[in-house]
Amino acid sequence: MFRSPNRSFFPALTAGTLLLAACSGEIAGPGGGLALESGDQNGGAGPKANDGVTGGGGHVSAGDPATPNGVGWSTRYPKLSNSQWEKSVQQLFYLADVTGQQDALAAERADALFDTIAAAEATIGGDSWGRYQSAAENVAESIVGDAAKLAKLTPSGTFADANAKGTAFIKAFGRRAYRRPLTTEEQTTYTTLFKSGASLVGSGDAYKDGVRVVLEAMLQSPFFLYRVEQSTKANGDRKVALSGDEIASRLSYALWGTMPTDELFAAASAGELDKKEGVAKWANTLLADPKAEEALVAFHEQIYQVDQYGGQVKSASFGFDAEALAPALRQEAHLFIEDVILKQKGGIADLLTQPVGYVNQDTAKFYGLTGVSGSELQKRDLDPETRAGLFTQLGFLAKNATSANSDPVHRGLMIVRKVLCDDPDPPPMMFNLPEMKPGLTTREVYEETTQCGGQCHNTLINPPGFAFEGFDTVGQVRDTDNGKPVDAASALEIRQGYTSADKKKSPSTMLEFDGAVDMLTQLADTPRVHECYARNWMAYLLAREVDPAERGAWEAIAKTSQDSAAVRNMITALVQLDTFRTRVADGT
Amino acid sequence: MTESRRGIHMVGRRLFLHGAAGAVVGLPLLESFIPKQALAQAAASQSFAIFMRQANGVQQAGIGSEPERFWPSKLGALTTASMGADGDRATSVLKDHAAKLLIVRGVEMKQIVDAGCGHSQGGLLCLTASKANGKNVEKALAQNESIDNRIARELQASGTEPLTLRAGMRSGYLDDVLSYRKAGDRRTAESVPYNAYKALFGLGTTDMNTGGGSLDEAASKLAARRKSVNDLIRAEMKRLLANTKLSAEDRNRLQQHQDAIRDLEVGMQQNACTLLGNDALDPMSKITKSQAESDAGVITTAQFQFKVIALAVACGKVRAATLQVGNGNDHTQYTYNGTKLERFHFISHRVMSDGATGAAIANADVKHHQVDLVFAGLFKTLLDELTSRTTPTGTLLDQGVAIWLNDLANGPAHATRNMPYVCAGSVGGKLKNGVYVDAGNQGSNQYVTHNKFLNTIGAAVGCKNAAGGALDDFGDSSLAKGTIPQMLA
Repeated sequence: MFRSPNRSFFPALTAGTLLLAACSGEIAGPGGGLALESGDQNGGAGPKANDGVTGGGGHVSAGDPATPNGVGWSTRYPKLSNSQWEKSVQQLFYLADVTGQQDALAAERADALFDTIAAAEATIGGDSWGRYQSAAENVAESIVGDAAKLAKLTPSGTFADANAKGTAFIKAFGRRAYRRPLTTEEQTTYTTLFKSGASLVGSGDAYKDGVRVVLEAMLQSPFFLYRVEQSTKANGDRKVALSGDEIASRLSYALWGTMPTDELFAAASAGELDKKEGVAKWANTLLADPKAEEALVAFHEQIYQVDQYGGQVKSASFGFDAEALAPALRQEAHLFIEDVILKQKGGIADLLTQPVGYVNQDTAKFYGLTGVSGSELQKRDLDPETRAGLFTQLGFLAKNATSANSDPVHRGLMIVRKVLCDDPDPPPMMFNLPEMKPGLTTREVYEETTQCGGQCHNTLINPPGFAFEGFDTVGQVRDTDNGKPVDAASALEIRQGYTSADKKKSPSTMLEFDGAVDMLTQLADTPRVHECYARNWMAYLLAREVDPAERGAWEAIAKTSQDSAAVRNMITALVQLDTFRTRVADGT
Repeated sequence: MTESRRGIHMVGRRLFLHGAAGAVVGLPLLESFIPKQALAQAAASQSFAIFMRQANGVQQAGIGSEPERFWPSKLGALTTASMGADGDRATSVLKDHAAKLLIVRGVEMKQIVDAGCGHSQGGLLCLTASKANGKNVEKALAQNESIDNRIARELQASGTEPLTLRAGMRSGYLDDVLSYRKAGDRRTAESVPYNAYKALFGLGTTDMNTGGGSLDEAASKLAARRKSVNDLIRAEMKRLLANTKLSAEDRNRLQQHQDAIRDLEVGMQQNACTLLGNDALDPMSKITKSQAESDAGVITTAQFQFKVIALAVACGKVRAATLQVGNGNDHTQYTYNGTKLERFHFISHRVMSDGATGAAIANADVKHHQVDLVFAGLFKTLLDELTSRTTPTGTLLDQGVAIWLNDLANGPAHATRNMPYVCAGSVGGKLKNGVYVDAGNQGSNQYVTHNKFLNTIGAAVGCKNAAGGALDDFGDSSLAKGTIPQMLA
């Protein structure tokens, strides 16, 4: 354990309460996004503070935030991500492999909390439309050019002519492409288009030509490119119950990243998803399938920025070739998450505490392990006195460090933002990491340099960062820093509330600890951590930022997290709530 | 209703919307439907590089008493007037494009390889800056990818290839020399422009084989199909936008989507990505393989290949293209001013043989210069083609760079110092234009290695080095890294 030689730094900070006027950073994006404020947390009609769009009804939420029934605003046109588009095309045509066309689609922004949120909010403007057009044409051509692929879409039975066959094709295929039955008007429109295929393509095969042009159109339709939610009938509290097909799509894209299966469509048509019990049943069905594993792991990799591991160049003296080690560092986190979430059916508490690593001959030495050979990663128990979970693995520690020194600010911010869903005020515009000084430890330099940051640094950011001072820039355990004993003891303010108003009136608690293992172990039992984990899952599965009005929902799910730990249980609980099964009425 | 301009079939909006001709392809990366504020970025994202290779060096000073007949007379600014005054120089043929030229001397294609023959090593070195896997002149292969492949690999959609074309004879000796996928994996270039065109635009399969019509008809069908599909999609968008129970944010997003569809159609009549019309397609489709690979057909073939290349980059199909004219040690008998010359390789050696001995060719240096003039004229057709295609920010040439290069510096000596590099286009302002520069210090006999030239081109179009910075480490590791600052704007 890391022992503090001097605890006098926090003489006045003991477990108790503390009311702060400073550090009013808002909570909006779960895990620490830009602040958004709901005008009326009791379900009123105030627009979001950052709603720059005029007209319409503004963004509103519905339901009582004190209950699990709150619902935040969501777009009715979440765009499929490129990955979702690719997987949907694969499933739509029953293809063994993906088409590869997604590589030619417009790149998605990488700075959103999750890729699904980035995609859902994206606009099909600029050159992205032309890319969809080309991709649709390429896919259509490849399908009609392959008799076996075309046969999978061709309706069975005997038809009077190509047009009759085409009508049956449109009905069956359109139901899957649009993820709902076509309306009579749409069926008529597509039948007309189908008939024009003979002249528009002119291959001499009227059925094939008709199919080709219909495929081109359906793959460019907004009803394919967006996960459209058309239901509009609102109840008394302005919630619109989603149709079975719309819930089927929410479920399937959230858990499998693709369109619903024919079986799920059938369940929707049969009304199975009209009741929350039915939604829960199908969520469990999807979660039991290996296709859900990718989403379960990707959630953690994205929220904890695993893809950035290994991106920081280190001083040569550490013998840590970050670029060369990057794949192993990322894969270690991936395997750890897989093991905890999929195999052990665990949750955030396990991720924060299990002293396990995956090492090879190149990384083992940084854990102080010997006898590891080969480039394949091997699971190893780590010293429970010094290591506890994902944030004591090399990838996280080396990412949040400078070339030669630890970086308490960024290590701390990860805990504050992504584990506690708190969001301190942003730093000054010209903020630079402090330079080390002779005779001072990293902690001493940061304490000296961040004094001007007031309570944000002293109580929110620095404390969790200092807990990791027992690790150097590459994640090796250390007892001394710059020749002086490491001080990893601190006290972290756990703020309550998710809006500035709530934070002002809610008492904070102080978490005292000595070192990372102590802090992470305590955090694993902290309700706020489970609330944050639940919030992040809500954002991931809903493909949008959550709203303070949904506080009751994430608190309910958080209880599941704290009680059972299993992520699958949390998801099953979430999909039964109004926030998943309804949306807020828009407009007039 | 339609007009033909330099072989490009322009289609009016009304005509297009009625599906009567519509020889236009609305392909990705059309600048015309990119919001104005994004134009600069979009232009950069559509950068490209086109390489035209001439063999056997150029006729430049340095061989006995032969006068200088290639380079401009003075370093510095190039203007139509200054180049016109250099009428005895091959590069003066390009005077109409003076403002877009970047002529670079002082580059050495360092002989890090002995492939047994100057032509063999020149061909494998010129775009790879790589060593070879042996000295067998016919089998030696570069041990690195070529720069066109690097550009395609980094900037094109995954799995797509650079456009690799050729014009002129095959002799079974160094037929394809330029483009490498990777070490030891050299591409075979397409000789027939029509084949390249069909392959690029997907018009050669269902449409052509079963429609029985011309390529223009197939393009018309594609355009008509797009119109029908767009009509349907627009109607759907209109219905969605008519919904009063729509948030302002959703309405705004759908409106942008709707606008993108409209802009694409509007852009079809004014963007650079305009399919070739019958006036170009008819003669192109008549060029057979044997004609494309003949002395008589080499120039015409090359000109049509340039049309295909220009269209490919305009439509965002490729970001890199090569055109190899003639075989490795080009034996083509070019025609200059109606007179058929001796085999070019012989001319380059100044004797009627592939070696150093043989009957002398009278005025061989002048004839070499005449071949250079033929190539200069050919390169000018490429620049004309790229200039004729307009974008909202200028011409297609402004977005990329076209390069006339050689795999040797001169003929008789097979020298590799002072390699002739003639570039045109600034890649959206990244390269200097309208100037003749010395990359080294020729007066002091100092040269920079040609990997730096390739780095400069690669960096300008957007390629990165291993650390994520601008490309500066292409080619063999024994060569010093870097770019040529004199080329950069």
